[in-house]
Amino acid sequence: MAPSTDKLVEQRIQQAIIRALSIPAPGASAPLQMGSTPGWDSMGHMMVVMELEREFDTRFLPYQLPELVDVPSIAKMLVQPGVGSK
Amino acid sequence: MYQSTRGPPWDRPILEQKQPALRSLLVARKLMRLNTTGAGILGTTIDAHLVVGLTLAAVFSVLIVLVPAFQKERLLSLLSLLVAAAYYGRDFLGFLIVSGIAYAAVRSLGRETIPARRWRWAWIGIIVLAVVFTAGRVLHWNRPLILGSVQVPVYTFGMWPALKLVTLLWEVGSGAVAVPALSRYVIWTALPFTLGGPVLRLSQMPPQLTGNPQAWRSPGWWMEACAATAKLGGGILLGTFQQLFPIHGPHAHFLNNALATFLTGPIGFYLTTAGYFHWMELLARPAGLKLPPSFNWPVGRENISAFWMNWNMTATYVFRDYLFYNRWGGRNFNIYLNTLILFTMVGLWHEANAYWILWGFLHGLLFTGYLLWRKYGSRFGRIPLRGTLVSQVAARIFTYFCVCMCWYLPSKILQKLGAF
Repeated sequence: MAPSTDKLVEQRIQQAIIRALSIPAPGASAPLQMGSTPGWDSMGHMMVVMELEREFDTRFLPYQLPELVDVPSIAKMLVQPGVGSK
Repeated sequence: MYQSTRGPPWDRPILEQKQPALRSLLVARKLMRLNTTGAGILGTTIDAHLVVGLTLAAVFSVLIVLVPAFQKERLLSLLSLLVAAAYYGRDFLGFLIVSGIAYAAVRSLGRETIPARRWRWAWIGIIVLAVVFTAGRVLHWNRPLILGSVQVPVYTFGMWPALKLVTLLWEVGSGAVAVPALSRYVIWTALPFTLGGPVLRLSQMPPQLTGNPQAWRSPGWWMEACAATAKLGGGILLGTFQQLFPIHGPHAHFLNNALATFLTGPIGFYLTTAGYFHWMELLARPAGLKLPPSFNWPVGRENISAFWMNWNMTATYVFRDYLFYNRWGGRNFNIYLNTLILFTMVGLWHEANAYWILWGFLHGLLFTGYLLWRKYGSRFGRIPLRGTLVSQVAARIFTYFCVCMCWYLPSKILQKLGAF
């Protein structure tokens, strides 16, 4: 992917996480991450996953769900084979 | 007959007091001097597996650092097998047989090249493993076969190897890891730092174990060693106190029960287990292995979710990743159903008996209650003192109380139902 596309995807991921958790946009020094972002615990994680699937019209495979812990890992997972349309 | 596993994990000595033979032994001890009685009980409080496990892990760690030849995979796998043989003793053959069958299954799984099919077979393998593990406990398959005058144990399948194999099937099935070579599989299965816990997934294991003597030279390592020893020692002392108290205060039943339920039992168990796992993390470091942490001060957490996020983390996260996030083929998550399934499975993983299944189910109900409160709690309007220091302290006390009750109540419920 071109760098600008990467950035766009990451922005969309961030927005989806913010919507899912109903939190304000984080600062640059506080990246969105499971376990450290308020509300992004095990329960919040499922809301994040569902919002991401809505945003990208996709469906994550079961074994991918535990790996979606921050924006870079989610971006990486979105381009993997196996993550496809619903 | 009252089985010692039908109660909280620290209850073994207290349960044994109900047996007449041991009751007379305790009376005899009472007539002896205090220090002798204390020393005797201290000796019985220390679990033999704990001592053996730590000793073998320490020897393994030292050998890897001092003898570079052991860093080569083949020799390391032989060393691992020797250490596992020392750990398991006469049950080692059973451990080898089960591990061998599991490896054959994983190799077969790895030959499936279509990801969807491989994933499906992995799940079938996990279900079969769970059924075998449970059946083995219920039907006591760990009893040795009698061949003439020789007893041959052919089945040894403990809770930690079972959970590790579940992670292996999951990771190979998902394609996260390739099927390991036999020597690597042997090292991973027989790794002395994980034989009695914690769980180390194959994906977390480095390609090679290289000695790291710098670990011992770091002041941080020694400070952590003091902390781990303090935890272990504190837990053992609390366990000893729990046994001494009824001897010296035989009529203080209520106080004895209260102390065992809320203090010596749970805190003693937590400190002993946390200290043991912490020592395993420390001993693994000089061997070039970073074990994930197991406990992060779970006692005193603000809610049951925070408790479980910090209790026995390597095991908890396996159940969370594989069960809590499961959609069971559907579109949506049913977190309430997943919670009940997850915790009942956790109970079953501990032991296949009514006490532990009920323990797990109670935790499931507790967690479900927390989830409902989290979702609908705001509908109750403004609760007085919410968000204040008082409410934060009260939440911690309440959470701890509920965790202790989950250990205490199942045996009481089963006694009422006449199941004991």
